[in-house]
Amino acid sequence: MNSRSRMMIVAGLAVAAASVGIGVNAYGVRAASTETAVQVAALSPADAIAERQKLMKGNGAAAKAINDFLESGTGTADDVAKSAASIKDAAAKIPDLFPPGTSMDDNIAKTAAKKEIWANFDDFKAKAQNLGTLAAALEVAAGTGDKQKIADAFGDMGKNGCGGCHTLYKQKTN
Amino acid sequence: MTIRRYGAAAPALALTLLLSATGRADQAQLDRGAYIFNAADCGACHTNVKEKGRLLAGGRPLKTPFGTFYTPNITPDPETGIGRWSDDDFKLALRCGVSPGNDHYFPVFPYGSFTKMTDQDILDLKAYIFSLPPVSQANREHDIDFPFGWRFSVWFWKQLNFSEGPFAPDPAHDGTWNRGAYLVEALAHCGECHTPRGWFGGLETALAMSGTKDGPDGQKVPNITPDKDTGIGGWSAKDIVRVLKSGQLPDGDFVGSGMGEVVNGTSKLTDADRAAIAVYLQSLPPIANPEAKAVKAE
Repeated sequence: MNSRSRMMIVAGLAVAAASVGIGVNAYGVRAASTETAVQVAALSPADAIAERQKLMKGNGAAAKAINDFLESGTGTADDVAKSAASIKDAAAKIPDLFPPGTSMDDNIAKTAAKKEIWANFDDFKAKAQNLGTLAAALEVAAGTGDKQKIADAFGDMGKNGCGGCHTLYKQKTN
Repeated sequence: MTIRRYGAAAPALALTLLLSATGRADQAQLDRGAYIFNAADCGACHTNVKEKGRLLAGGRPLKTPFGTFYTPNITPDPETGIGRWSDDDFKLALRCGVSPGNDHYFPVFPYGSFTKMTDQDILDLKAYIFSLPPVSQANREHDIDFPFGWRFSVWFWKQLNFSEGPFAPDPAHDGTWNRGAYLVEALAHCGECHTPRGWFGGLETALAMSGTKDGPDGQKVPNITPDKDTGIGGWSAKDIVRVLKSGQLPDGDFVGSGMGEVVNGTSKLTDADRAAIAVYLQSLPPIANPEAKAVKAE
C-alpha cells in the first residue's frame, strides 16, 4: 500500500471517528535491533556478492540435474553423486562469501541476502555446514544407486539444506 | 455478535460436540486435525521460530503496512492461551473473526480464508490444538499505527472486505478441482499473500493470486495465476506439486522467506491434495503482473 492511499484511509477514518465520536488508542515505539558482525572480509563486497551468486546458480543447476534424474531419468546415479559433491564443496565456501556489509540493505549490488544473516551468523554458518552434511549424505545415497534412497536424501537436502536457510535468510527479489 | 448459520449443522457435528464436551477427542479426529493444522500452517505464524519460541506460544512479529502485530498464544494454556475456549468460541474466531470477548480480530489473522472452512475441519483442528502441550506465555501487545489499532477500524474493514460462510463446492467442477479450491481458498489461505491488497488492506479479489510487490515483511510475492509471461503458465502440474512438496522451483532453486515456511506445511499434505491444488491453480484466469513475476519453467 502506498503512502497516498494510507493518507486517504487515515483521513476517511478520522471523519468516521468524528462522526461516531469514539476515542482512539495510540501504541508505543518499535524496539531497535542490534547486529554483530563476526567475520573478516577477504573479497570486496561487490566481488563476494558476484561470487556467491555464481555459486548459488551452480547449486541450482546441480539440484535441477538431480531432480531431472529422479523425475525424467536423465543422466546416471554417478552424475547425481558428482552434483551432490559439487554442492557439498560449495556449501563449505558459503560463509566466506557473505562478508559483513553485503546485505540487501547495504546497496552494494542486487542481492537477496537479508541482514538477519549477520545478526545470526553462527546459525547461518551452521546452516551452511548442515547443507554440506546433507549433500554428503546424498553423495553416499547416489553411490548405492538406489533411486528411493537418492530421492529421500535429495528431498532432505533440498528442503532442509537449501530451503532451511533460504526461509530465514533469503528475500524474494526478482 | 452472535453466531449464525448453524442451520446446516450435520449429525456428525453434534456427535463431535458431544465428544469434545466429554473431553474425549478420538485418535481419528486428532489425525484429521493434525492434517488441517499442517495445511493451514498455523504453527508458522503462531510460533516465534526465529527466537526459538515454543510451538504455538505466539509472539512472532508480523510487519504490515499498518504496524507490527505479535501473534497470540494459541496453546491450550488456560491463562495465557486458549485453553478455556469452547468449541463455539473457536468457531466464532475462525468463522467470524471475533474473539470470545466479542472483539473483532485484526485481519492479519486470516479469518477471511478460514471462514470458508467446514465446521468439521474447524472442530478437528481445535481438538488437535488442544492435544498439544500448553505453554504459559503472555501475549505481547500489537504495535499498530494510528488509527488502525482501533477496533472500529476493524469493524469498518469487515464491512468492506469480509464475507462470512463456509466454502460452497462448485457443481460445474469435479471433486479434485473443488478439493483444490478448498485447500487454496480456505485452509492454505494462499490468497492472503498471493492476492494483492488494495485500499485499506482488503484483498483485490478480481486480481486473485496474481502476486504483489508489497507482500508480508515488504517482500515480493509471485504471480501464481497461469499467465505465460509473468505467472506460472509455463509450469507443469508436476512443477507446482514439486514446489509444494520440497520447495524446489523449476529452475532448481529452493524457495525462501514466507514460501519456505509454507512448504513446511504443504510438504506434509498428501500427493493427491498437492495435485488438487495444482489443478485449481491452473484453472484460474491468467492475469499479467510484471511487478511480481514467478520463476519461469523452461
